[in-house]
Amino acid sequence: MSGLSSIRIQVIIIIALLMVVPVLVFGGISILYYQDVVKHNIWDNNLAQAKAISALTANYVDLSTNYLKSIADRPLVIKAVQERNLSFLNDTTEYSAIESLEFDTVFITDTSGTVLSYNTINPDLTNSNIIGKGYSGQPYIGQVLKTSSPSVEAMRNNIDGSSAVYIGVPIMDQNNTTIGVIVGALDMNNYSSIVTGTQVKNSQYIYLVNESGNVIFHNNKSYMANMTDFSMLPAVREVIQGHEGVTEQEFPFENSVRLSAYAPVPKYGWGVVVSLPVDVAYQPITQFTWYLLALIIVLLLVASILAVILGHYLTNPLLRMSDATTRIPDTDPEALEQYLPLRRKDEIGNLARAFLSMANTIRLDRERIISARDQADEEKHHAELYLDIMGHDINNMNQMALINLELVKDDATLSDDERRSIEESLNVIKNSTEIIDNVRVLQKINEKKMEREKVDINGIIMDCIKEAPRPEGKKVAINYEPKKDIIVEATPLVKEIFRNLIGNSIKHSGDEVTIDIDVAEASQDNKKYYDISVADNGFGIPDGVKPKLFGRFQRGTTKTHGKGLGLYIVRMLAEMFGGSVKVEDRVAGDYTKGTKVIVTLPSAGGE
Amino acid sequence: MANECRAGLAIVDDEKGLVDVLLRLFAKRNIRVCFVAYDGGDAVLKFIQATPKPRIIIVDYRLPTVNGIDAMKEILKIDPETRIILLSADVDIKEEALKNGAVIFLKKPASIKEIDEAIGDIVKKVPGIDLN
Repeated sequence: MSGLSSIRIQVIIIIALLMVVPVLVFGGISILYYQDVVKHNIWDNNLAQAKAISALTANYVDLSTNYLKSIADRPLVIKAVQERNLSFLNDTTEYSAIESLEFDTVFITDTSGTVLSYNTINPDLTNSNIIGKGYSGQPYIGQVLKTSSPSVEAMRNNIDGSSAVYIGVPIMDQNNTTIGVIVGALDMNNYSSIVTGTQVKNSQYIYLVNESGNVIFHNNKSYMANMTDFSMLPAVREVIQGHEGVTEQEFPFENSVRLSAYAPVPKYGWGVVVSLPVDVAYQPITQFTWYLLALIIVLLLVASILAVILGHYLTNPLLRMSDATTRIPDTDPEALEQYLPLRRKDEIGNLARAFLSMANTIRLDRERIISARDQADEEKHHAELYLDIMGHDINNMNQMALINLELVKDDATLSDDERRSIEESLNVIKNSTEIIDNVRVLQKINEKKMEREKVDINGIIMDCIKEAPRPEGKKVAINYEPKKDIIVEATPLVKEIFRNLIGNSIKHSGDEVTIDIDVAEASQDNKKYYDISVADNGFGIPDGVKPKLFGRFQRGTTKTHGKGLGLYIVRMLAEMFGGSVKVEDRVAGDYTKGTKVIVTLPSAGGE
Repeated sequence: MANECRAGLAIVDDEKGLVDVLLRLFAKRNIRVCFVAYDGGDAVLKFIQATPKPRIIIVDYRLPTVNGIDAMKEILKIDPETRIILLSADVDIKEEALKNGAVIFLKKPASIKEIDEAIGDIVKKVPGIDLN
């Protein structure tokens, strides 16, 4: 037993399927579910970062504005502007530009927007000098002079065109009249260090756009050089309209797809965008998926190992009992114990003990059966031997008696009585020979050793006609029209049927007998049969005898003896070959006109 | 062998009573019996020694040491022209006997008529055969 036909393999497969399928199903669902959860976490994290930077930016600008306010509100500064004390104002702008972290450039104008004092630590601007120049056209000055309120403008600086954030704050006298403006340009390096110092991941972009979508700040400074227009980006379009959210978008400047979280800075109309390449952003999902796959593989391995262990555990007792079963014929029950799980306390142990008990019983029964069979075989062998010896020796004796009697019968001096006695003795010899022959046929029938083959009934009938006894002084006429292809599946013993029937017709008739043999096709249950009839004009069989005719020899029906054995053999053989036999009057209703026996045999051709 | 004198028949059977009655029958028919043997081996020896050699041998099958068919085979090796009639109660050996050279198989008990017919058939088929 091997392969899938083994119960062990089948059990292992079933258990493995029962364990593996849930692992695969739940593992697959978990992967899909947690991929979605992780993705949302990534989105939420990025959005939170964008919102935090948005808040930080607003606070940073507010803080910077307040710083400028604190300078603009100083009486000494107000007095210096009123008195055009340029030396003091220069000290003030220099101090503010150098000492404050928020600004890299600070300058002060009068009410006409003319620059009174200017100082910068921006290395790109150190060579510029705008003192005495009119800046009233710049919104962060003109707007302040017009409204006497602070103004914040993100725009290109008018020196190198790079992005800059200008905060203008009015300088007002005691009458709240605007006498000048102090302007600070935010130090974007400082802003950058605050915004990106601890939060920027690999390939992450953090950028700030103004209300028109131009870059104010970008941690890739190349986008700040001329305030690159990002307004075509979906995230930028959304954020400058005051919306927050997360999206995956093409970033045409670098031909990449990036996950972009955006949050507006409502007070200033700006927007903050935090973006990451999609593959970087979603790396946790990939990692998580691999972790889960690794876990599933480990679970599958564990499930497989458990399936093998369980399969062995569950099937071992069965296989061992199966092994023990095959050994029952050749092994002592005591030796079977090594194959059986007799020490187990559970139901399998009970089964093993019951099995052992059964094996003992089988063993004893088998020994009894073998002994009985051997005895029966021996008895049968003896019976066959006795029959053989008896048949042979009696026929030898008969041979001697037959020739002796026939020699005497030729003596012309015999009286009629003496001749009749000799005739009767000869008949006795013939009858005893017939009984022996029939007993031998019965023995062969019971042996059932002969293989069935296709037998030509026509040839058999012809042989029987040829070999039929023709007693001296008796006229025997046998009519038969030979027919072709009358083939049945039988053994050569089938000849005994017709030998007996023809012999009976000759024996049970007067000085003249006519025997008509005919073969006709018949059909029963869509099968083809042959009806072979043997009819004679002999003494006939009374109706009362007919029902018992073929069963006269059967034990228990009457006193058993050798006479009538022939018809019993006819019936046995006909039934053995799948057919039947019946007897009728040759002339219906008048048994004295002779007998007709019909033997029905199935055709070897079937339908 | 073909030039030797050939006449009569021989009987091979271990049943002395049967041999005696056959001798009486053949005496009545004026048929010479060349020899009688009670065993297959004895039959072969007597056949070799017999002068004249029998044209027909009536052989039983069951014999004490060498059976009738084996004896027949040996005799036919010596003289294939010898005609064998196998006279036996064992009808099962009929085919084997005919296959191995017997010209006629007679089942015991065979009537005088059957024995006469068997011998007559052989005499008819073998021109010039002399059984006297």
